[in-house]
Amino acid sequence: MKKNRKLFRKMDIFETIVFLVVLIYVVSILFVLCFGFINSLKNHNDYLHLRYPNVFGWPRAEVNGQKFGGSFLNLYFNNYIEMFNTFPVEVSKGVGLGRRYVTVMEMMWNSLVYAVSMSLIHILSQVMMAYLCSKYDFKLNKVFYTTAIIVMMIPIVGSLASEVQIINALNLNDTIIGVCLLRAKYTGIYFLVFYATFKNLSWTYAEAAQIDGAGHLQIFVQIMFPMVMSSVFAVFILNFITNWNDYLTPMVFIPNKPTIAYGLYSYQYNSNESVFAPHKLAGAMFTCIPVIILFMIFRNKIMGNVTMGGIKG
Amino acid sequence: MKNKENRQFSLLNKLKWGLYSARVKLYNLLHKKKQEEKIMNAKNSARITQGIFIFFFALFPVVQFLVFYVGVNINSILLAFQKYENGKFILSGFENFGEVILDIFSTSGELRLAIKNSTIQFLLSVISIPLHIMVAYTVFKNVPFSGFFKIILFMPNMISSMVFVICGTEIINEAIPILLNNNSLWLLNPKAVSSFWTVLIFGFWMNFASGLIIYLSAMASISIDIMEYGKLEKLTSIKELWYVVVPSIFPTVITYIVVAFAGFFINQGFFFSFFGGNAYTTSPYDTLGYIFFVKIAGDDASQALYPYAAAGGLLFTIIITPITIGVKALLEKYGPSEE
Repeated sequence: MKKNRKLFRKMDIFETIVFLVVLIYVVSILFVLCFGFINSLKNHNDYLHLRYPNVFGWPRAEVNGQKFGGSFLNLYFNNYIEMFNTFPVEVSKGVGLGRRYVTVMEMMWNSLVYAVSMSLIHILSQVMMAYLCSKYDFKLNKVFYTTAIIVMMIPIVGSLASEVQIINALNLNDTIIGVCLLRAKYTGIYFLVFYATFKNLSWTYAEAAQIDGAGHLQIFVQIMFPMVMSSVFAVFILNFITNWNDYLTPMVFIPNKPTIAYGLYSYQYNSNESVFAPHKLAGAMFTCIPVIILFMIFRNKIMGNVTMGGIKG
Repeated sequence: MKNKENRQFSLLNKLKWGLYSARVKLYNLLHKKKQEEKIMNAKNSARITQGIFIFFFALFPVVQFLVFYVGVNINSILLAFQKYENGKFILSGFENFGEVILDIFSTSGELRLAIKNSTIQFLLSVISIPLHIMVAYTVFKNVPFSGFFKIILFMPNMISSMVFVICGTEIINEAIPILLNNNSLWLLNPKAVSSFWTVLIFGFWMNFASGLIIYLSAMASISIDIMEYGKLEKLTSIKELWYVVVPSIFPTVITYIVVAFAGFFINQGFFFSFFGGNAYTTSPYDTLGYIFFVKIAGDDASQALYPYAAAGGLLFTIIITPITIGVKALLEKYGPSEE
């Protein structure tokens, strides 16, 4: 599609209406994020002042003689410092070993390990199976592929209880490797993406390598996999972001290794007397930072084409 | 004499050639077998090597699938026929199914309200699909600021939903009452029906650009010839969307429609994010997905509730599976196609 060089081109009525709707939505997203950011830099007495609440405006220096302690441009950065002290989540040290608090940095580390492990192991499973199904003709080839399609079509309801039981039975409860193994199913939308990608690769390169004496594993690692690295990396980044933001799975399966997303969920219900709305907003804004940095670096990969082509047959 | 010598020489040569040919044929006969055996061995060896490679390469995905999908679902079926008593699970026949059916049909049953809420949620998600396509189409058509729109529209997927929930909570609880000068709105009162509608609208807003990247990728793969043909025919954008784009990306649309149907019993929306949940409390915002999640992971959740959740899940899986497959088949048969 030719890029339109004019900033404003002629749009028909339908395009104009949808454009305006999208514009309003985009403005609303920006409003919500700006609302959160600006209020995270307000003293709670300024934000919810009894007589003159300041929910929409810029942080104030004082109201009726009551100073709010802001520094540069009245911004109250202390919320972020106080948030670090009140954000930690209480977890169990082990059976009969008491409890401890998990700090923000430890939650960040847990999030990093969780997101990277989950993404890597899941993608590995899908890539391996997609490669076999697309490039090798063996008896169970059709079975594996058809199973992937059928599993995607059949919605399983209420299996969470069974998952918890199986994880506990295998002594993998409260371990990151346990939850990674649980969620590393090869079926899923990205199996189809990798399958299509491998299918489009010529086998000539592999034949040439076989003549030179390369083994199957060598062909995969040194020839085929590097050719799909771009797609794999894009899917990895998308999965990483999803797993980084996921708080439900860590809450159920690794409650004593809280991630930053679970910490934020827990912080929302923090009943500590010194935790106010601006602290919660500061916590929310703080957790955005790693994802925004990641997005800025890998924007082209994330927003690039990840072809799926739908499921037919 | 000379002729006699020549004749003798010729006979000798013939004899030599004959012996030589016989020797070559014998050699080939003996070694052909060895060569064939060598080729057969090489082929078998390659097949065995390939087989070993396929076996070990597929081992992890297959074992994982067998344990954590097949095993989990078999265990879930068995759990549905058990109950938790005195610290262990014992067989209880169809008792759990009876409880679930009673909850669905009795006026005070929690599942009755959940089915109603889930239906509303499902209808909204299906109605939203055309909106998602229109949003993606707008970005695809490179309207002014489309690059900027793409980034902002992706924000709800990129940033944790809890960030938007926390910001949304403050806007709904503090900002909107001040704007409307009404402090008794209580839009997020967990005991009021308004909480269901508030979170539902929030979910609709969050999912406004759902599937943007996938739809854009599908639209990008539409043949340029078809798009050019549309331009030559001077199709308006709405006609281009309806006659060109939607049929071309219909397999992708089918996927999202099927997911919406499947999500009827699974989708818990943002209710847990806003309110958390107690396994034993009925709330005005209960949906099926929310109830089944809260019974396992909510406050006061215990193993005693596992069999009920498993039975309900099994029952609903049996109901939704043929519907999902049927909807997909119907859409593929009667839906628009590129042709």
